[in-house]
Amino acid sequence: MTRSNRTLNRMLLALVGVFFLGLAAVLAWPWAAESLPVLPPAPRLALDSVALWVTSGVALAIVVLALTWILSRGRGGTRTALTVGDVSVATAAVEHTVRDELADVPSVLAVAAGAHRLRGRTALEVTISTRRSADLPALLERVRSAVRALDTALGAEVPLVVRITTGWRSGLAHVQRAE
Amino acid sequence: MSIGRYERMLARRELRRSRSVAVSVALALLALGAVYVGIEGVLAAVQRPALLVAPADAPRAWSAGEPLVLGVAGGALLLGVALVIAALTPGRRARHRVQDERSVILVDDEVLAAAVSRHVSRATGVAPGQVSTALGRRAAEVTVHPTSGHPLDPVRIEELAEAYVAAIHPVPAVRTRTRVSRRGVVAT
Repeated sequence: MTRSNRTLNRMLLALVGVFFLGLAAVLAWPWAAESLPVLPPAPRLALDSVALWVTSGVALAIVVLALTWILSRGRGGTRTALTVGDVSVATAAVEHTVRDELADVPSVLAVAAGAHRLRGRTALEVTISTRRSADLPALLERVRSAVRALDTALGAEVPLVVRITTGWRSGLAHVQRAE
Repeated sequence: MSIGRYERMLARRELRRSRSVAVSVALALLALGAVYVGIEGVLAAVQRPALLVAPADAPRAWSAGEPLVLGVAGGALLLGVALVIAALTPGRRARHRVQDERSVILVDDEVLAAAVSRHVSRATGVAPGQVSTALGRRAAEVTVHPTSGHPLDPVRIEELAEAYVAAIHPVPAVRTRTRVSRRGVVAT
């Protein structure tokens, strides 16, 4: 997760897409006007030195803006889960708390926690890697009680995303058969 | 009671793929094109031979509809269509949210489907490899290959799968459909 604005991303993507479509239409205009008489004939153009300078200036501006955008992506990650007064809690502490709570659940292989700043708040993300055929309702019950324990430990309800996944390690771990 | 606005936003971000990389790629292509235009401009200014088309020849090449111009137009058309599609499609990730009042709990479809298969296989006594589950956003289809000579009750399997998915409580709800294969598997 990053803090990038999803709607802005899509609007920009659509804008660049429409620009390319427009470019295609303009480039193909004289050729298309020849075979399709419906289209108005393309004007005769000449490039003088002013037009050349303007074009180069626009090209330079596009390069600078594009690079600025590309290089400013992917920020917002933090290792601080919560700050109360002078005390800050690291995401590692969150990770340890949840891992301890789930230590005796056989289907849980790994627990990882991260945090990022999003719209002025810190969102926590806890990723729980499980075996592929975990007993899901039982696991979810344990996850909910682990979250309650985390809330008690932190003394606050931080916005939290819990992801239950199968990590690369679960491919190696064999299916649990024992009841 | 359900999760708050901020949490719903978090869930939406996690359930859909970000277009961040796509935007960066699109802008990089745009910048490359701009760099090319700039290079041709500089080469013409210092009176060196052009890479592809000199700016002075560009209007004539455009009017004549030369293959190079049409090729670039075709490339721009394909790219533009791809970008507009990427901007408009939801880009869903293979995950489901599970009902919870405190936090956003997301389960990978792989985990959810495997759990349903495992439950049906345990409850019916069919080997784990004979049950498979295909999961969409709002529907799950459980396919069971019965062991030869041990007929299965489709209604009971339907109930099993439905109750199990209901206990997990995905949001939005997932309907279950079960299919008992006509062909059995020879017991090993």
